[in-house]
Amino acid sequence: MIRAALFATAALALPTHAAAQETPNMPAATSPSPGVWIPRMQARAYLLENDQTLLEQDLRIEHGLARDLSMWAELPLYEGFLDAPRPSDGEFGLGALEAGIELRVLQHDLDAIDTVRGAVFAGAALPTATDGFGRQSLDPFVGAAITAIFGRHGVNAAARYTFVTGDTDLPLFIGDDGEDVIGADLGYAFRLAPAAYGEERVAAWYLTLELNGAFTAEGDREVLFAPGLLVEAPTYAVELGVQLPIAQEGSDRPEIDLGIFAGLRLLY
Amino acid sequence: MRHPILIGACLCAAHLLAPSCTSTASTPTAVTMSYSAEPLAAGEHELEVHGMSCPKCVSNVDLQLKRLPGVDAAVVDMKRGVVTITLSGNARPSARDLATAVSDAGFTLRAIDRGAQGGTP
Repeated sequence: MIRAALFATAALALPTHAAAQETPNMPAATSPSPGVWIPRMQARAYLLENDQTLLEQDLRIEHGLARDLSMWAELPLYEGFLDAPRPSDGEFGLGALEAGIELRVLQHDLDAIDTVRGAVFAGAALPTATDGFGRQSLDPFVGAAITAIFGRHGVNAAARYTFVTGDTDLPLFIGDDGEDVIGADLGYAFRLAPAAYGEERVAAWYLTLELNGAFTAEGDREVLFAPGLLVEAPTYAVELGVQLPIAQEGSDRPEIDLGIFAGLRLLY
Repeated sequence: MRHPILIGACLCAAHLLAPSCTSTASTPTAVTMSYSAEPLAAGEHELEVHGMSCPKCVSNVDLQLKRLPGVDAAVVDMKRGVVTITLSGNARPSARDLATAVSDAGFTLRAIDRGAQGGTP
């Protein structure tokens, strides 16, 4: 447990970026400015069936290549307290490294605050996963995201198709059995405070609600409901939340009982 | 065969999207080019900026504007969507420079000194 605590502490210690009413567990149509590097980190704990636990820490870096074009790379680190023969004794491991590019294809800034953004993205998950923490295959993906903000209300929608080219004998995530995965996410953020911005720079508090879905053609599915709280200031942001399973079906992967995520983001 | 077909379909879709993407993305550029390339006068100027929907946006606009030579200060009023900048020195930015900086930050510059006589655009 000490290692787990250190794992979570490390996740909170590193800086990440915050973006406008960006719900925490899905892609958004936001991207860094040209020449800007943004490190980002998220930590979460999955409480799985039969008292199993999986800790995840995502390291992500984004870079603005041009006004509407950016790239990113993301590497998940895992610590597993799972039933053997999966990593069972707090073993650490890497997940699949993802790298991709994102192109903003839509930007309508309607007034001082309201805006609608759209982006498409493509990339691949590289075979960096160590034994027990995912499939070791090169899996391309494509997707799109839309972010719309109207006053205190923010809506995010995203879809992603992953071409799965490999599998594993010990599936841990949806798609680990070799079937292509369709991801569909819907997010809503409501600005609790301030009700209206003023001349002073103050932190904004958001209630976030998400539906995170993943499906395969073979009928595997995983739909999680994720309520959370996001506090976003000009120089930092804090996010907290849980992921509750609504539907889970398929393969031999362990089912999720509860997901908990937390993060601290520092802005430069 | 399934994957090559799907990948091909996606590439085709991306290719078809590209012209419209360029068209959409070029809108801010077109707006930017409509501003004068002449250096602005020293002193305070009000920039009307659209799309600043969060506290982080303020930091983005600050960052990009303060990178410009001659910009001493940038104060953002999110309520009005107005950024007040103070310019000084000989190497002051033009309206076009400011529009580009705001666009690079991810937002849209609608007008400069709209309330003043001769405001642009």
